[in-house]
Amino acid sequence: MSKKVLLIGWDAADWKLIWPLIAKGQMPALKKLMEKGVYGNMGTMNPPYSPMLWSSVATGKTPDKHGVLGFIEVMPNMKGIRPVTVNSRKAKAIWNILHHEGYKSNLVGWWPSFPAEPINGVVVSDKFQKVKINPKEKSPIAKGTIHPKSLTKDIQDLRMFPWEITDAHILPFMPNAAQIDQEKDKGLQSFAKIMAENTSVHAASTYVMREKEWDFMAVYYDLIDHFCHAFMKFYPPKQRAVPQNLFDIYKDAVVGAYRYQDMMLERTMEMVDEDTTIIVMSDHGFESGHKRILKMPKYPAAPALEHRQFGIFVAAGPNIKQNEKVFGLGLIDITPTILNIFNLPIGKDMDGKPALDIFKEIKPPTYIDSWEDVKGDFGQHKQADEEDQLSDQETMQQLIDLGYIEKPDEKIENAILKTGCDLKHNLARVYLGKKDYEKSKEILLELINDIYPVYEEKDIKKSDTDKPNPQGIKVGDPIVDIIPFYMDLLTISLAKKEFDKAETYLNELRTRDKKFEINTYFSEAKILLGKGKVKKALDVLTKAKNNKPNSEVWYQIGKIYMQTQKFEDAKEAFEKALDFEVDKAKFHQSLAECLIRLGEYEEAAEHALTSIELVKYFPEAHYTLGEALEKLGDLENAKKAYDTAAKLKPQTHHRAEKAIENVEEKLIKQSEFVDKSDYKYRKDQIVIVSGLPRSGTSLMMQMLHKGGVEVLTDHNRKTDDSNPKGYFEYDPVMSIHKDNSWLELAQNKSVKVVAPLLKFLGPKYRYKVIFMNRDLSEIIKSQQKMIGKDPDTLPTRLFEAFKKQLNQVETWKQKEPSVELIYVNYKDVLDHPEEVIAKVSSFIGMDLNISEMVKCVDKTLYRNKV
Amino acid sequence: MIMNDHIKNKKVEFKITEKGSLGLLAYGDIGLREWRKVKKEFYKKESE
Repeated sequence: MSKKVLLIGWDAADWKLIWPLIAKGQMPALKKLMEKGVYGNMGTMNPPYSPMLWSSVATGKTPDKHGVLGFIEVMPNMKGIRPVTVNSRKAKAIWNILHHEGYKSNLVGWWPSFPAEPINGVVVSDKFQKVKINPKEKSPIAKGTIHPKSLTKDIQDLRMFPWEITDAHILPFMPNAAQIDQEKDKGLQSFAKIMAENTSVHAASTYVMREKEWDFMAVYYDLIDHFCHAFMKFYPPKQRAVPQNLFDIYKDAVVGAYRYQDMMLERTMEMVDEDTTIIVMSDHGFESGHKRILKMPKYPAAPALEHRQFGIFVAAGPNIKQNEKVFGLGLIDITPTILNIFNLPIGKDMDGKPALDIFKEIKPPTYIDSWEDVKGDFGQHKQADEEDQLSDQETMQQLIDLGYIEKPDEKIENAILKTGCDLKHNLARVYLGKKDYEKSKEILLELINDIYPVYEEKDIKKSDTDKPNPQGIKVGDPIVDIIPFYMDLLTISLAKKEFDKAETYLNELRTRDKKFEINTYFSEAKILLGKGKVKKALDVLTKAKNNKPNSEVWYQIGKIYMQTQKFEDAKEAFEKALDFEVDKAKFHQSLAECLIRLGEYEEAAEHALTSIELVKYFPEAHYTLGEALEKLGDLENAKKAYDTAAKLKPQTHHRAEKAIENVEEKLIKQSEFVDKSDYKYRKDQIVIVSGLPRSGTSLMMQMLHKGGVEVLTDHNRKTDDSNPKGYFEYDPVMSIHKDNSWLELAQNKSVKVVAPLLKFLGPKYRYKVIFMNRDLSEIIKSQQKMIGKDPDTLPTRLFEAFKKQLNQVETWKQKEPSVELIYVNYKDVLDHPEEVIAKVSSFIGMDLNISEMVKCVDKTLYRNKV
Repeated sequence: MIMNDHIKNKKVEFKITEKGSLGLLAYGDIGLREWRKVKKEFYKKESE
């Protein structure tokens, strides 16, 4: 069987745009491919900058490993900056590995692929299609553009020039193009450039496909991405700030790009045989709804803010399943998947894994430690060729026009310094995306602590104009903007729940950005929430909502209501979020979770399913579906949902694992008619004694201690009149909301945790909670007395607060699969200790020393009867 | 204008004008080259 693989990259292609076009029959080639094969979402990575992402596609590695960290790079001689080249890539690409293994590869337009690597096959690098806009200027093909060089004479005429574009090319995209005022509006110029470049790539691609032998071929088009950046703001529905005349001219441009891309695909598909596996994919999606940005923030690469989390993936071929949806794919999975097709081992140092789900017949993958350690000829450059150190003004200008990079400083040393900082910052963001907070923080702290030169008068004022510079830079401003570094430090602090630090960074941001253009109300609310100031957090979000309601703010409000167990309010907030954005998986999942708490299980299951349909790679949605199905009594399917949640989570999904155990036990009990009241000892279980303060928790601890259960206590709190036999407390419990790592020490022991802190017990362990109940009036009376207040005056607010806490415990018990809980009445302990001990002994699944436990009961200490 | 498709070994009929078309561009190298030939001929005749 032939092993030919054709990989086609469509930068920024998005299912949101594609589905309606397919429905209207306007993307027939892609539809045909989908019907023949599999399709699904392609998860992107952060930061979503295309050269980094396509290098991850080519290497199976994250950018910290492959080394391509942005759109530009510092030249090796340190004399300038230039568009990123293949020299930035430190890891072997799939075509290097295939070269070593004797396969032929053709590569066209890949970003970055200049200077062309000397592989077995053809490389038409990403510099090929870049030509001068002005017809009077020559556009020679630079050295290193094409490999082998001898091919240059055969394909040099396949570059299309923007001035060759005619109305026959323009009108299908813009029927009203004649109305464009070309003096003021550069839209047509952008159009011509993008069209010409992509047509050149396609022409070179079809030529080498037909004329040259290959086993693997990869072609990259930036048509959709560049059209989206230029014209998405005009895509229907019309946004208020877009002038009607411009909307009328450009509204069909983006759709036109998708249709033209499909026409090119149709031709490409005609050129391969049935034994070729074709993969069409994008590196990210593109916002096409209300999140489109009309006025870009001034930060570098801000246009990437419009990139959506999911791109597309379609594959068809002899061993690919037919007409199936596939899930959970990432950019880094492409190279391992192709290696698997070629029966080649996957590097263990690759971050991706082969997408085995797409195959009809699965070949078990083989592995080697690293392709980087394999010696031999991989078709790589021996060393950076000094002559290749072109600054490439045209490409730089295009990156500037797209907004991907700032106009470089005219002072070259400033431009180099800024580029160096940008690349470091991108690396920090890669680590942030990988949740390696320590490495990310280290780089960010280095960046904020560096001392940077400041702008001088001569740097800002150009000799030929008195106009203020467009970026609003003032004399004395540091040449490196450190605000983005602070923003990421703030994100890290929030992720690590270091709320004091987060507050410091937030204040720093506010001091540095006087106009305060950055939206920080989510961060502010998270800090307040983290510090327990729930009402203030809600106020911040409510103010933001009243100012400019949007889906995210409603969602965050809903999350706060969930935390405070105001489920009806949470439901309303999530529904509002869905009114704004109906296809957001996390909104459906949160609503489903909320509906479970409200006992509306069927609706919950429906929303969880919708969430999964939108994003399969969403462990929490599967978990929530499992919970809803379990409540509905569909244990078999609940187990399947929990299994999927556990499988998808990158780290262990403790909750799902516990839930699976629970459902399995329930299924066994169903079939074996085991008494449902039976409890069993669970390996490494933690016995928690809980209750409101003064509800008899110390007595229960003492009884367990005497009964033979080891107690986790530091004896720091001494006995007193209120508790003459000791408190059995453990100091770290009081800060469990910050650090619960000590729970490991509590395994097979008992520990006292007061009711409000129960929710901070992590899902990692199994808990047997003995919750002490006592008449609320008695508890309050006892507490009043303990703190020297009048025991006969019952504060009603306290009474209500305690009642609320008890309700919250009940909800928590229902929600957490790792928790088993029994209520023990304090008065029963005093009146019928043997019965209570029997109940406790059965609950924790241990034989206890009953006589010693009974001795602990001292009725004389029952002093605050109602 | 009839173009030879070397892959499918079949003749593909395209009506090519000097203005070209998206279909021709999407056809790749062959389409681009054939369009340029027609364009060149057209302008040659025009200038005569």
